[in-house]
Amino acid sequence: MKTTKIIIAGMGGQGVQVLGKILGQAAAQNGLAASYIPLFGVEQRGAPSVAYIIINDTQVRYPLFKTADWALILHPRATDVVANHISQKTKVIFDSSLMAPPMINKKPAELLGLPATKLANEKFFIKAANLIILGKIARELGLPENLIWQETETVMSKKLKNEKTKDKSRSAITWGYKITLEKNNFSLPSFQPKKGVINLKGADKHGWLIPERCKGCGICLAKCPAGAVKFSAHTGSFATSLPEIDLTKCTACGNCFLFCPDGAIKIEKDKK
Amino acid sequence: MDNLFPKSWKAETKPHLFCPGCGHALALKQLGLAVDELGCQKNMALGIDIGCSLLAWDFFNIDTTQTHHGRTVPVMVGYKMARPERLAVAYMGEGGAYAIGLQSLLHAALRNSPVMVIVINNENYAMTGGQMSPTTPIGKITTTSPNGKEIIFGPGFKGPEIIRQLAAKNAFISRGSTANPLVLKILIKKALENQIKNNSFSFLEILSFCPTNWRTDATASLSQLKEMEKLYPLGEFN
Repeated sequence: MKTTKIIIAGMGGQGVQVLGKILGQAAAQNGLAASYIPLFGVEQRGAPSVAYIIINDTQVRYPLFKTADWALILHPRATDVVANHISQKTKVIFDSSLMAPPMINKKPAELLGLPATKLANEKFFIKAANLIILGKIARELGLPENLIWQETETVMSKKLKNEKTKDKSRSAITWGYKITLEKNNFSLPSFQPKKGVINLKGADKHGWLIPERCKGCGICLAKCPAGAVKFSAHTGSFATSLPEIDLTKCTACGNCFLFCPDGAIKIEKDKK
Repeated sequence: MDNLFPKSWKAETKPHLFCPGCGHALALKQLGLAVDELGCQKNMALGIDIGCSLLAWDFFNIDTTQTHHGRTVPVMVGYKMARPERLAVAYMGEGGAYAIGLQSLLHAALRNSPVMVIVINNENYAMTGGQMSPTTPIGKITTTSPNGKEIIFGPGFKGPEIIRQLAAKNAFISRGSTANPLVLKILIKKALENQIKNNSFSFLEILSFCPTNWRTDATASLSQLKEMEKLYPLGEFN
């Protein structure tokens, strides 16, 4: 009787629970006993989200556990949540394009990097990062690729209506299935969120942008009368795109400051 | 960088716990600015309800208490009785105010208790996943009304209009919208001043949006809010 315990942790909105659900269902379809328990706070977005999965040959007696065999960390802010579930036997996979190797007190058996967000952004689309990780963990667990795709289609049927998205999602899983993990030479966390205050100057205006507060809701884009705000390639600390301001177009009307629910943006005219 | 949000906001707890693009934060921003302008930050207490409104529990540098579902108004009425020199503000969603806590709200209005009640109306129970609420209009699709809300569940509940029928003459009853924050701030200030000057009940419903459960982006949320404003007329009710 072999039991595999997997813990997946990330930020809400990254697709942690979808990943857990697909994995659990695929294991069940493969003739194994599986349990999947989601754990998250009262917030619907932007807080750590954890999935507990147990896969066993015969039956699962209790769905929660203390030490995991596999720990998948999708976001640096979720490291603290998983740290208690890591022992010397745990193999840790982390998103090396989002975070530096996690600092964990107990040394895990293996620390493996997978630059999922970077790959997803370059080859597919940024939200496909969880599918790449899904492909990888499925291979490690010995679940067939076709089965994983079949379950992905059932779980995400509403989101995979577009043929293009469907093809890209399929190839993201295949890509993840084939990829080799980084063992020591981790790729640089190029998707690390910007910190501090971004000062913008030019065209007699001064702008402030705080990436740690921006949640990428897009209200500033919708409310800008001059069309000076658009999404940039940089990400904030919630793994969403930061706004980019064209100060030459900006009229300093103050709408973005007035409507920003998070207090992350402000543009003023320079005092003369 | 404190010039990006009101001084009464607690900087350590930002970014706050609301979803991206949440209307609650927009309303709380205007409440913060109004408190800044009146300078009553150290002289007030904020009561919050169960639901998404409870995520404001560490939002302000203001004495805040959290109560049972729908019981924010009576708790703040009690607070005001014990400390009449301080301002009492109850902040709740429409589920707490118009469903489970309606009798508490109506009786506070009937007694003309000197508290201020802010109700955020986003047409659903947002924290539990977007179920139908008293203010959901007929035909709107939610998780508990997958074919659109039917007439047997009643049309949209119009809180300020009903409370106007039984509140005292000097009570301040109004409805604002997060689509126009500047007007909203004026309404909040008037409601707070009404409590200071007239020592009477003030009620403010704020139309808001819920991008997570409406499944809309920023542009679509704002245009749906415009639809809401047609159903729920804005302004002061005298």
